[in-house]
Amino acid sequence: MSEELILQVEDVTVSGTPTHVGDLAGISLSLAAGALLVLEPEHHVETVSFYDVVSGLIVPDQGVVRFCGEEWRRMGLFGQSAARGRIGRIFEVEGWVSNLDMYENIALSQRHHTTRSDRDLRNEMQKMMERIGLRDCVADRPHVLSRGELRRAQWVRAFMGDALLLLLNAPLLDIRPEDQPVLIELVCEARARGAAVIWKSRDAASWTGKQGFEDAIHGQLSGGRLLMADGNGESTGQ
Amino acid sequence: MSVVGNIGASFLNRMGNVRRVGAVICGVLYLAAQPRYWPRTVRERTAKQLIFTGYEALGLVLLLSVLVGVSVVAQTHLWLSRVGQSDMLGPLLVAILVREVGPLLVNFIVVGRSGTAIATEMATMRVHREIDVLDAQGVDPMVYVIMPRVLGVMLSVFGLTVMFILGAFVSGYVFGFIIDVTPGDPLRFAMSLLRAVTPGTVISLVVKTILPGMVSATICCIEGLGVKGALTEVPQAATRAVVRSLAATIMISAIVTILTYV
Repeated sequence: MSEELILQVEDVTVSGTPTHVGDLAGISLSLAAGALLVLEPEHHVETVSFYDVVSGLIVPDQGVVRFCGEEWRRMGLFGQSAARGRIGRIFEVEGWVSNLDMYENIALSQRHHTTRSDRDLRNEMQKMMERIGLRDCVADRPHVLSRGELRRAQWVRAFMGDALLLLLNAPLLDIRPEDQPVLIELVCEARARGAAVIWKSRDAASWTGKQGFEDAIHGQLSGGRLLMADGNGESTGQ
Repeated sequence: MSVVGNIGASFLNRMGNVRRVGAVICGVLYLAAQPRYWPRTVRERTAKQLIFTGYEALGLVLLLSVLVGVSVVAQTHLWLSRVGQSDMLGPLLVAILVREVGPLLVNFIVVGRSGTAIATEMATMRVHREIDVLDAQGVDPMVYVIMPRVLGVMLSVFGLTVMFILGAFVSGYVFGFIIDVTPGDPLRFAMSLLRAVTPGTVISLVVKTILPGMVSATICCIEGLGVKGALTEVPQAATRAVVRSLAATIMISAIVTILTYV
């Protein structure tokens, strides 16, 4: 793992956000390449808010958020979009564009931000789908798939294309226990190639010491504040 | 608030809407002028919009053009020849079909067919947070959602209007031939129409198709994306979008007509 910082959040406060996201107060955090933060929120909306802030979608009232050393607000419109193309995200609810088929949905970011050929993308998608045990559903619309299938399709989308930051919001929701190890393998591989990962879990303690999570840092989002397991409000995961 | 105050507030509100539409159109044109905002996803989206709004509406537009051609071209020729003014056929048909009826009817068809679809789709995407999903992946909704629709509708309205005008002239001539009120041989008829086409006519046609097309698509996008999150807002947004688009189309058409003859 390298010392390169993927994410820096400095004293970020967000208030008066739309109803589907929660307020954040004085959050500071640094994540280096290969770091894994297991996050336990008090409310779902706080995670949405936190993920939107670190993705540069919500501009904080106060504080600074840097992705790969660059401040979101200094990137410009095109730069922000391109940077978000390097972030893989799993949504807890929804997460799909209903008038696109699954191939278009899963490959949307890659097709938008890169010049990789469709054949290359289909091959990578196919391999990943086989690996996680997801049936060939590329021609289907999202509403045809079950919740478990959609969740695993979100894994494929998030892990395609070597994302630098992975924001996983309840990635194991609706997933059978026997299918879960694949995701942990994918997370370990992503960390090994230098991606930082934030894993939201409703029961962060259950991951303590588990394989792949030995060096994970733990944090709790409560009342808009981020409390790290070591008792500090700030932590650097490396 | 007083009556005058209410009128003033309503006027300012409308001006705010006009400013919003203008800002979005300027944004679309600014983005569209830069090749980096044309990745394959946006190109495909624009092509799909052209197919839906342009190609798939072609049958309906041609059918309407035949009906208008039959009733307008043949009748105009019939009445002009009765009053001994057959030479006026070209200028009159161009003034009626090219400058007024063609652009207006095609705009109405496109608003009724694609405008409702755009507004409903936008509103549904908003309600289901699909816009947030695009944003989170770095797919700017302005680039991927709005720009292709505005440009697609704009180009479709122009193309469909040209087809409508051609269809009306051809069908009118053929119908006239069938009922024996044909305005001379086809070449002569075509030349009389072409002679009546002035630079002002071409400018009027372009402005009355391009501008209302862009404005109505923008209004539909704004109204659709403006819903707050309840499904019940979706049909309301679609209705509002269609009414405002039609009003804007008529207003633009009237203003351009006035400017043409001033």
